[in-house]
Amino acid sequence: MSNEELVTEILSAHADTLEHQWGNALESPKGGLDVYLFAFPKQRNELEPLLNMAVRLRNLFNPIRPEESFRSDLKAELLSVLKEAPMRANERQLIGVAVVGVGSVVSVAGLLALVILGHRRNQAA
Amino acid sequence: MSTINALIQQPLSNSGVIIDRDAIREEEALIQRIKEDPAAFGELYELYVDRIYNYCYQRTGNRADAEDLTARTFHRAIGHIQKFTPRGIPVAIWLYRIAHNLISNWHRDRHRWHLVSLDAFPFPNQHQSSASGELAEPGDLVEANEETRLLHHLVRDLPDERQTLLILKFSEDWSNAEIGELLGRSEGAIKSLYHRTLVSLREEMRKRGF
Repeated sequence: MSNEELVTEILSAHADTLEHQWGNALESPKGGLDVYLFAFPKQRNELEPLLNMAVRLRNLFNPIRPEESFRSDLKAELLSVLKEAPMRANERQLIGVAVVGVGSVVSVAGLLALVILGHRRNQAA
Repeated sequence: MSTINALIQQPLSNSGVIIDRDAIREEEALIQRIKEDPAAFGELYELYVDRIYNYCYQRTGNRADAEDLTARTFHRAIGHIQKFTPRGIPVAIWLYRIAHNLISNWHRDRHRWHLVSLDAFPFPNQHQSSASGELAEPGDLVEANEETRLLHHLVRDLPDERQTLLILKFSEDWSNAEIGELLGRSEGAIKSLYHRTLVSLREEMRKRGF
């Protein structure tokens, strides 16, 4: 493993250990950066500023909750949309039945017309 | 557990998304229930609305746009839920993809205007001035706040992919594999991207005297 690959793995491993509670970012409970810096002394100079940056970033992204009014209003809106959706599906079904029905009538009418025309031709002949 | 963390016996944080097959199966059952009874969508909503909102907020920096994008995410999910087929990946990935695409369009349409409200600037814990956890002097707190503002600004200017990586990793506790699933990259590629992002941010801070 090259030095760069090792540093990549160490940074990734460190990020995995950063614990995060809602609204309050915490460092790893087992000594934070020092554990990694002690375990990898040759990479210390390269690692230390990057590990510090990772901790700063962890502290930067405090999770933000939506306001309760927005949360409940949106839920009501979505469920209302979903309630209308089955009604629209039923309407589509009715339209579909009507189209098939009309199509059937047209087909029967077409057949009758052919029969009548054929009969008239025979009579003319 | 990574080899490195196993070597130094460090605990891992919990993944922010699904971590086992049983949970994925439960979600697939929920999707099936929603297809049969749309009112069950409320359950999916309750599971993910806070996370989707947080993701939208972290990407936009203000509540108004976060609310708008959250609403659009769930409306779009409703529109596609009948056609959605779970394929052994968390439903969260599907929802976050919808949000991610909407946010990308939002950034493109607004030419990366940043409306940042005051509550987008988190102040560091007043008892800590550094990762070592030492008590802070008042002057340290002012500098720490300037540093935080600058870092916040630099993160906002990151390309979408890097910004998404940091937000999902540090605000949502996603694993590299999960982030890779969302961004269409391998786990190794995500680790490398994370490394390069830290280096680049560190360099930008250093140039500005921090």
